[in-house]
Amino acid sequence: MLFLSDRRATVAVEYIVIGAISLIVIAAAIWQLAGSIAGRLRDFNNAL
Amino acid sequence: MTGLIALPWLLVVAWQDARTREVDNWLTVPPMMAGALLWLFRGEWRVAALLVGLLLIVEVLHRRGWAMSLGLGPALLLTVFLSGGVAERDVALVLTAWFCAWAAWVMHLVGGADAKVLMALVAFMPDARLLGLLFGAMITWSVYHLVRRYRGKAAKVALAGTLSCPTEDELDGNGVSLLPAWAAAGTVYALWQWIGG
Repeated sequence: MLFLSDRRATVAVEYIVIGAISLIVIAAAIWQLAGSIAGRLRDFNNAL
Repeated sequence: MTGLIALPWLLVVAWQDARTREVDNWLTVPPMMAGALLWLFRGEWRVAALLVGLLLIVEVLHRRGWAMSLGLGPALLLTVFLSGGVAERDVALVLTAWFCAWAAWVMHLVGGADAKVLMALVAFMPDARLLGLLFGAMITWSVYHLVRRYRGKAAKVALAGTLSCPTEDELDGNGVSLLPAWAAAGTVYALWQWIGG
């Protein structure tokens, strides 16, 4: 279990700008997509 | 109440990180697993399903010798699929934060212990303010170390870093301890909760 056994607790500071931008974009994309899908499911359930 | 238990734990992992730049797995894995179990007991299976999915993706790619970044796409689809059907915003927040923590580890931006600590914290305290504090602490801490390490060239180094991705060797060789910054953010959050009642 590679992820579970990784004990490192460091951050790559030289890459923090690209890392922060990537994480914000990914989080916003998931949040928007999930909200959109949940909204459509709600609409579908209400229409039934 | 959760904050009262989480804060001493966070201080212990930060202390260990500051000393050795590593944290023992028994301090990070059980809290993360407990977070998934907590949601499972609440009747929400999606968090545990995401964890199993992320672990499986890592295992398959590792055993085949393929690049970990190949798992980002399938993991993103899995996260969107799982969070699409949830009515509760807290669950969507946990799923999003867990994926981001895992993605940061896959991109070699943070170590595995950092990712697991974040996953445990968010599972027990699904609060966007806590996530914002942790994210802000990570950025501030990194900028501080960038300036300290490179002085006047810090901006140039940070901009150059946007053109590539960190490797595992760079994280091992040049990475700085992150958990002390998260312990500070956790303390601020606990005080905020305490003052706010």
